[in-house]
Amino acid sequence: MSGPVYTYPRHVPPLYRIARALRGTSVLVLVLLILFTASVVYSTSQLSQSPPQVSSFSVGFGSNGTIILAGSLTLNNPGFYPIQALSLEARVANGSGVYLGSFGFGPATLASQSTEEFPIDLYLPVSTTGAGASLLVHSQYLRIGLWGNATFGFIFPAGIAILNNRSWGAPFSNFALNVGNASVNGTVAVTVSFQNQASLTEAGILRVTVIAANGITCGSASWTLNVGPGQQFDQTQPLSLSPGCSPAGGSLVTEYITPGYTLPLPPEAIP
Amino acid sequence: MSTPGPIPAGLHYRVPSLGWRITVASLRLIPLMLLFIGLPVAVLEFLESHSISLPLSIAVVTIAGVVITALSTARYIAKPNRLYGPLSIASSAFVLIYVFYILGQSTYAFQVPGSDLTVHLAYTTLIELLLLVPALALLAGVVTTVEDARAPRERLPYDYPA
Repeated sequence: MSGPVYTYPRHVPPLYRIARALRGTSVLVLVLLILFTASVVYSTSQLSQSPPQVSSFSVGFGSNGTIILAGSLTLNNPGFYPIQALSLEARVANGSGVYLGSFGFGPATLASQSTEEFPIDLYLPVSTTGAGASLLVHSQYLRIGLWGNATFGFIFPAGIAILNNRSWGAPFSNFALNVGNASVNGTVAVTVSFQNQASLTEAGILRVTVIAANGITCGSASWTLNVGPGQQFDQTQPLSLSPGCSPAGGSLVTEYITPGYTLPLPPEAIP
Repeated sequence: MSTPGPIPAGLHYRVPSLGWRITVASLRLIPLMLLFIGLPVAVLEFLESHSISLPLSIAVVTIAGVVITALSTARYIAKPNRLYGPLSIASSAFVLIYVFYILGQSTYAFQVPGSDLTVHLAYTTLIELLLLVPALALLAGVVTTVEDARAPRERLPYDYPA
């Protein structure tokens, strides 16, 4: 380095001080932002070491004509910062894309260095007229969409979306009713067949009612069920018809009855 | 180059020669290019190699890095002169525009390769806070320009103490 040496007064000029303070503050802000961002990235990367745990879903029937998928989501936040505005929403559609049901939770805050379990209860209505009715009698693939939002490190909002297909085993898969010809003593043979492809045991009463074309109840028959997962059910029973009541052109109405709930199955027309 | 006249006794300072400043500025180019061009391009290429494409293109990052490096080098060489203030303003203004450009693309969504998972990220607040950095530097450039206009060479003893 070369150049002449000069002298100058010792007091620092105010404008120079202001400019230096501004540059210093600028550098300080930059350093703080870099350190903060690095700490948030590191803190968030800790999440990958303890990914969310989704418990296995239990399948059950609700008293209000719904199938209930119950499970839980366990989240662990080992990072330095809380996870804020945490929310989750799932929507379920059948294979044709028809909306069946949804669930959600939040917004919630997951404190740093903490673990929390969030319930996931999905109610799918299975009324005989709605799209969910097919869940009872047709095994199929369901389209499940999952959306989650959260804010990391106070200023980094993030969201995830997962769309995938999950197989669904129907509790009364391939449900079929077969009505024989009326005998001279006023009875018809009714055959019920289905396979339980759900993960629950069906324990209750299956009642089939014959409704004539004019709406009059001709008679009914009941089967006691104790059908485990994967088991086939195939039984025939005689059904006594009311005198003068003709089932032809009518319909068969089936109900699955337990002490806790009564579940209607899709009706079938009698030729 | 400033060459002040007789000055009362006080601080001593020594302004490096133009050749020396150019030499040092050339050496500064290496870390500057690594910081403003090499590192961002490497990060973008790494992400693209993992099928994650950020909204910022490599061409934009490269051009911006070259401009920032060039302005920073010119600013360093011109530090003893009156051009230092305006070059500081130009450099900060360019970085400000660059950060504004990034701000416009501060929400980002990508699909994790080989999965049904889509991730949405937003770093708008961070970029807004980052705007403070060039804004403060720009103000400093304005103050230095005013100082150089009012009292040329006033800052030299503090920038180049002997």
